[in-house]
Amino acid sequence: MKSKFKLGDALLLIGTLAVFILSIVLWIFIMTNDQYFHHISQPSRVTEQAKNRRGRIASNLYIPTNSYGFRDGQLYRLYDSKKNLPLEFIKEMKGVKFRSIRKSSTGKKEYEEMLHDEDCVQLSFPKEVSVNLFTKKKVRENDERFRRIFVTSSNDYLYLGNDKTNTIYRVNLIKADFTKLRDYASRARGKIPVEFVRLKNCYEVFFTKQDHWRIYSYLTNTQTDSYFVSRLLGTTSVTTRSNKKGWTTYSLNYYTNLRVPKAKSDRHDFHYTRFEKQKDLSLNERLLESVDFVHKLGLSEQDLRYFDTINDSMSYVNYIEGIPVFWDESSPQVTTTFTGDAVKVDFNNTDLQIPIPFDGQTKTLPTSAAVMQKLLNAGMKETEIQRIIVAFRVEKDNSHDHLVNLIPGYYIKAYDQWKSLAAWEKEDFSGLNKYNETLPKEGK
Amino acid sequence: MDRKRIEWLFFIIFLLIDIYLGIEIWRSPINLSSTPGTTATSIRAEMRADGIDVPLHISRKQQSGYYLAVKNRDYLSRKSSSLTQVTTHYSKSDNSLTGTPKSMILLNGNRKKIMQQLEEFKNEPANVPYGKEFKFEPSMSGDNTYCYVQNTDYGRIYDSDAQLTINVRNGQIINYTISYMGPIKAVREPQLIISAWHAVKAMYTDREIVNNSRVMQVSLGYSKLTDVRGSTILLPTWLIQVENKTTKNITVKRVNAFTAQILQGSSYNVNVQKN
Repeated sequence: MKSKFKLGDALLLIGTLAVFILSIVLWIFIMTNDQYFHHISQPSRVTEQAKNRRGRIASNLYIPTNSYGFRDGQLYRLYDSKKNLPLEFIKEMKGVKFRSIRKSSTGKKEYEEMLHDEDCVQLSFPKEVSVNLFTKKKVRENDERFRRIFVTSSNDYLYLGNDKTNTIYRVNLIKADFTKLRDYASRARGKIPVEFVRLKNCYEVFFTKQDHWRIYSYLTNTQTDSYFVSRLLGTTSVTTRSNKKGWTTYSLNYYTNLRVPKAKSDRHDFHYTRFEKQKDLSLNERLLESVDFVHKLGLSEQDLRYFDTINDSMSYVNYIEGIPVFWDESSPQVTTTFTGDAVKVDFNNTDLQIPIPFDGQTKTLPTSAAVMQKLLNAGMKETEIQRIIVAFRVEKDNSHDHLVNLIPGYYIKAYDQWKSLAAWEKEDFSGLNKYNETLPKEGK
Repeated sequence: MDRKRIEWLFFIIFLLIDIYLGIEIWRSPINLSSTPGTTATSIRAEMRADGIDVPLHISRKQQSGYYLAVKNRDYLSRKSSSLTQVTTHYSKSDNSLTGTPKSMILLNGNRKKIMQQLEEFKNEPANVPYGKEFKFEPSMSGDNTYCYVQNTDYGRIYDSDAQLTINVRNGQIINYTISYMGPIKAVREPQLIISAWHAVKAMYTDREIVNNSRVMQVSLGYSKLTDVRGSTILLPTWLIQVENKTTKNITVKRVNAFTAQILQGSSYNVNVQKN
């Protein structure tokens, strides 16, 4: 009787230890082994998405944002309020078949000649995209990148240009007809004189005249936490909610969370993280993968365009009349980041919703060359200047709830960061230049 | 004895924790990406199963559309003096003008001829102000009412503030009522809009199409969105005409062509359909 009693005690002790050790093992397994989740979710997700991605890309994100053309030897940025030229190009590309794509030239001289070909209508992306993304087919094994499209006077072919490598690709087409596009380009009402200036890795469009830039206004729409929680985490499985230092974190199954600023704060930056082992993706795959996340947010995609890639992060901003819009100081609308073990999506929960008729307000901006000079005077190294663009800053208009004004100004990308001219002028360049010299040289 | 109790307590607590963690591992992560494309064909099948007929030729092609704006002004009252062939009454409350022909205007012939005569009547500036800017809209017309909507360079406007209705009785024009928004301007450059099929799909998934009904027509037009800074903003909308197969009632609903959202409170019934 006594021995039975001891056996029971021993079994209980072993059982307790076993469940205790098992709980630790399971906990460690959950916290460390992304591969498990990756294994469950990835294959089915990839195959299911494959068919749909292309259709969604057409839904705006990856289309050119600006168009350029020559008249009497002068290069102009083209704009027509009735005809959105990049959109016309996309429309005309529907139904076009690609006969072949081949490298045409790689020389700087040939590239600059192409840039100044007066017979071409040029369309540009803010950042390189892949050829396969453009053709919507895997036509190139290496999936080369390009930033510029040259629509020639022939309907049988066009050229793609990569500023960074000075490479030109000739794309032979079937059933293409760019007559309308050329016609619209020649009749475009808004023509701002510009010139191409070589910066670190691209030919930048420099505005050669001091000009009055329109201030546009929009009514905004701000979505609540619950909207994004239900879209990104689901409605029933959100298990934890915690408040720390002005942030609310909604979590799902340890590996997915959404961090949002507290409702009372004036912040609108939301941060979604999903821990998941990532395989190496090509540019095309990454751009496509990114679309799913942007689309899932449920923000207005009407004006949303691919804007830039810095390291592992791809950003998307709203383009109004061909000009990008920054929130806060220089935040894009959405940024997706693919690291080795997680996907992060940082976004602003406010949308530009309804455009308000232009009321005549303008802002005078200097030439791009003057801006560049200011930067050099402030201490910025010329070789570090990557982009100089005009962009809108969102400013609240107190005359009406949810009304914002889009104030044009110069924005500069240097040292892999986007900042306004004013912000760069305050920067201590001596430290930045020294720090940058210590970094391994990389053609960004 | 106490030690044994504590051991049991620990055993049960950790067993529960193990069960919980086991469930957590078993549950797969949610799939972040939705898969609308793969369901494109199945949505059609689902609609068929729900007794909803959709025209086969419905377009899947994306077009472009504008945000439009118009200044809120009274364009009609000052026109009364130039309308010499009709007696007019201007209603300030709804900004509309009613005109009654001073002399009898008889309509004769088949429908095509009647349409032609009505067209001549409305295009005459002494009869109808801004008449040339209005186009016939069969889906809103009935046996004795001929409805025209304001037409612009950007497309037709479907709103009670941009409408001309000519009332006919016994082959004679009785009167007309017109409301006019004024000259329309694009607020921004055009943007891509959703296809007609996408709009129908959005309506179905939002449960705005009842079972046992027929999608009769899908057309693109502009609808009023909001008033701001003394202007009315319009946006492109897909107007989807749905007929209830049982009651034969026809309802027109609007889908925002930029966002695919249903414009709530904007639907209207069509009592008599005539093409």
